[in-house]
Amino acid sequence: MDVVPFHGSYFPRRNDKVIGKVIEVGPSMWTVDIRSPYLTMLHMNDTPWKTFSGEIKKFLNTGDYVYAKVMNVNEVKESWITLKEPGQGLRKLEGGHIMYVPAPKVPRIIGKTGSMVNMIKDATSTRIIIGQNGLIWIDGAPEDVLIADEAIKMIEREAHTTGLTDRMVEFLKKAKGEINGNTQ
Amino acid sequence: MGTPSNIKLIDENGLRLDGRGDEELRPIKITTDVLERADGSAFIEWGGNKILVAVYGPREAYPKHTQDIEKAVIKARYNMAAFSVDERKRPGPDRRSMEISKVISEALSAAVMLEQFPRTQIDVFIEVIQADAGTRIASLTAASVALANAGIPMKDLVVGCTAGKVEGRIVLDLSKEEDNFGNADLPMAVLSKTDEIVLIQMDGELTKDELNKGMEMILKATKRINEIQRKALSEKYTIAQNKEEGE
Repeated sequence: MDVVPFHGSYFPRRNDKVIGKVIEVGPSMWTVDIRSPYLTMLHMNDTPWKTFSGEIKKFLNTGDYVYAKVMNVNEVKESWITLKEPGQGLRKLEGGHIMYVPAPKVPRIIGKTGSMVNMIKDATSTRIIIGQNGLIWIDGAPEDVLIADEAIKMIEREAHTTGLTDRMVEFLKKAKGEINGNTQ
Repeated sequence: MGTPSNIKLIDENGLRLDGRGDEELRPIKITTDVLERADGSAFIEWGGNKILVAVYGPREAYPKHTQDIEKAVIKARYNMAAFSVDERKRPGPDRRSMEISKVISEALSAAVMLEQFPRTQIDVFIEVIQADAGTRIASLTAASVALANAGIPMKDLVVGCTAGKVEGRIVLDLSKEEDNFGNADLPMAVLSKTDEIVLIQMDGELTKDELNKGMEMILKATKRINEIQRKALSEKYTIAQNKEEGE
């Protein structure tokens, strides 16, 4: 038996797509923080770039964010991520705004087949990437990013309630209206 | 324990100093999510006790030699504020608080599914803001709520209570005076569903029969305390839901 908690940390699973922050650069590997109890590793051979040992810093430096896929997790929970899977949008994340929600709330933010996040994307005309680990990247005009941020925080707060989609429609309508009202 | 005094701890009507009967608990109140930055937190008010618990983790265990390749380690730290007792308590860890930290860590380890996250540590910070007898089991009771609040997988909640001997009678949940001037003090904690004992200590002297009676009283009381724990955990979510439905 297993219980889905309201809170709790993220545990990497194979093939999950996650957002992580580079916290250390080694000669041939980056150490990436994915807000899990365990740090994860990105090897230079698992990137689309032509890298040479000792000079991988110019591609990714500490503080950069990546959207990557979990390649492997072993018995002692060490994990490796990869950027080398064409067509899945894996890359270094440039610009944008990063926010965090607890990993158990991620399915609610995505919604059924992405309905919830697509609604926010359409209403705020932002680009949003959600990592399974709860890190979220939002890019767009600053005021739109703020609305998307607020909308996601609302889902986080009310993830366990029913009728959330309807309230979200209301919220987005109101928030958009306020922006238009101010700019006119 | 057993300090000679002429305080009458039980009056002619069989009531205790604060007016309680033998098996009556002091009022208990638990609130969760009291701290923003902790992964889980709880605040317990148990009689005059006021205790704050913050849980962080699971996170990678440091220093590295404390890591266990097979399971997580729980590092509880029980700390009393300088102003928590009548006379100023010298701040910092001492023999007593190190002992309590150790027994609490061990009791919690029996409930948490440690094998799910090898190499990590779970930090449990316990700050006693006001002490009034029975802080170790109050801390433990609140700590297990804070762990559940942090979303850490557990087999069961840990729930504790004390019993003791006061003027020859076995009574439940000793107050400060009873603890200081009574004959014996018996703190005990169990897993709420299985009644498996995860902590038991004794100060003073009890006969075998008295010990059994005390344990029986504690077991009965833990059922009531467990209700309060469960209510504290579900409260936040039910209130939010009702409010939204009302709108």
